Amino acid sequence: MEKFIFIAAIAYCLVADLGLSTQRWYSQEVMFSDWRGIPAVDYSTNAPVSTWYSGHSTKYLRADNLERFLAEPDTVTLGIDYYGLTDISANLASSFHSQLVIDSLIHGGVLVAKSFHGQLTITGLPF
Amino acid sequence: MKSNIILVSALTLVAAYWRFHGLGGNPLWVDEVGFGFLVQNGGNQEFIPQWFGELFGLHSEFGLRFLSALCGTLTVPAIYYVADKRKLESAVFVAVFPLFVFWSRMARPYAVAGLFVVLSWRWWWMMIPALVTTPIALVGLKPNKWMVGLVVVGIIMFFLRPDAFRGWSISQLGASPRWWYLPALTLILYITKWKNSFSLLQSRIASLRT
Repeated sequence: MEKFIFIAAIAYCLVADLGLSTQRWYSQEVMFSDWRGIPAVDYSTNAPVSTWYSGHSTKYLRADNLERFLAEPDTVTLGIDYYGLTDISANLASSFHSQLVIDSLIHGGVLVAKSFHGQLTITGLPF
Repeated sequence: MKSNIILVSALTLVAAYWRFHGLGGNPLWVDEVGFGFLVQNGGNQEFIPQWFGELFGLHSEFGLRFLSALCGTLTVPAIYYVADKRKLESAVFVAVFPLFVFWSRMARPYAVAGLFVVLSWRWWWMMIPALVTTPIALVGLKPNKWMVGLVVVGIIMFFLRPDAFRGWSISQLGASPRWWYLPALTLILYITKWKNSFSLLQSRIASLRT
């Protein structure tokens, strides 16, 4: 019995390991968003990753600094990834009506938009 | 003996495959980027992986994750060498258990610390590089019943991770995906009898006040 449980557990582990190269595996804990090739933006829902890949410092867009973002006097560029669908980023991407866009964000895509006082214009579709 | 060495070598190769296959495929996620900035700009944590990254000037996805994958792979022969009994079973488990594989594929310090923790069960001073890598290594100070308890809790948590409930009614609760951390922490505190430690601490603080 002991051996059977051990072999069953190892078999389960091997099946789970098969999913490691996909973005779905353990997606509740870690969210990979592909910021590679995304140009520098003024604001980002994932500022560290955006800054790392673009090489330019980016401001975080979070619910607690939304007012500052909306009060920007000029048009600003905004990078949105999965976090744009969460409360921590004021859930700003949930208003997008295209399910394709939302699905892309959920699966690691990144959207680039221009914003003037919060009026978003999408300039780059999710990859 | 010779057949065991061949088996452990084969297991190490399997472990290496799971850890290195497509290692640079996924982009970095936010915590890995934090580590990348540590390597790039310097800092005062995660010293060994950070020094390794600085030494070789690593900044690609594969490069930043390389040491974790290497140490995660080497943990397989290490645990075989260190364990007194169930050597082969332990090595098999370390080679394929998804959480070990997962953290071995991340630019995070845990797999590096894990290797040193395992080695510290044979050579105590290996705990020093483990702690230099991450203070979380203290959890594995020695393979006593409390540490085994933590590992068991971790394994249960893995098999009961929220993904397992996706689509079930429990996922409709709208709670954080990490809702289970609280009962897990409670169980850990219960197992490790931290209540006694807190009571002792409270009484000492009270005695300092008087």
